[in-house]
Amino acid sequence: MIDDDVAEPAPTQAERAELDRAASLLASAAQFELSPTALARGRAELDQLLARKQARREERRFRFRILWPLPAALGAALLVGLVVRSKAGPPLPLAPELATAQSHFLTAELTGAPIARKDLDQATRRYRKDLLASLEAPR
Amino acid sequence: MTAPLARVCLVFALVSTLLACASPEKARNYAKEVRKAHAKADHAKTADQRLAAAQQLGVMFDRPPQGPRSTTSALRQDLADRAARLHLDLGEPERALEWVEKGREVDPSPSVLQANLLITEADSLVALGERDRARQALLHAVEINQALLNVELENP
Repeated sequence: MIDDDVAEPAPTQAERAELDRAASLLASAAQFELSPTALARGRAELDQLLARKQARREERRFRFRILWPLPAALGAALLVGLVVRSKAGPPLPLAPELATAQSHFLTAELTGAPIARKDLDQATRRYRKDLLASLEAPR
Repeated sequence: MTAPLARVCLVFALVSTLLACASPEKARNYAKEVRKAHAKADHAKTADQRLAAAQQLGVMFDRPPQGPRSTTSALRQDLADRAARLHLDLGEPERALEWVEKGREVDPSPSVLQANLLITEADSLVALGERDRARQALLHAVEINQALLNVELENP
């Protein structure tokens, strides 16, 4: 059984200094505690910051969802352009011989000179041959 | 709204690419068939043979062309012109004019084959007794011919 009347030994110099320091901390603790108004304001600011961040994320997601088809469509258009270009094919074989034969034929036809129909037919045949050869040539 | 459009574009691009890749062999076969039709016209002597040759050229004209568009358009104009010539030889200038029209519709841009078609048109119109219109067709052919020769001279 503990006897209350038994006097405790007096604190030492070091213990007294510790106690003094603890007491002064307790005395100033109130200064570090935030008032309920400040706490509420802080929470509100924090919520606002979080909401803004969420909104920015949502906006980025929305922009991506809206804009991703554009590069895809652009790529597809480029591909189609290339295909159309390849389908259009190389330029036609030149036809200076046929153009010259036509010129002779037309001059004869319009001036009443003897008509060189055979030359025009031959030039047409050679041009046809060039066209068919260009179609058969490996691309 | 743009997402379905992009999907449609992508599918279209893929299909076009596949079609383009598949064409060289088809183009060679097409050229072979066109050559065969012209060979038939080369050897046609009688009226029946000429009529059959004209029909064969017509079949090739109507067949979906295979290969680069610039070349196949020229070949189709040439097929139409030759079919028209055969009909003209058979004494059918109206049929000849129909083929000239078909040939000119393939590609209305000025070319040596467009000029050939105009010459055949003029001959058909002469056969129908329409000399003024025939002259107009010839003058149009001269216009095209001169423009083409100028281009040849400028870019030898």
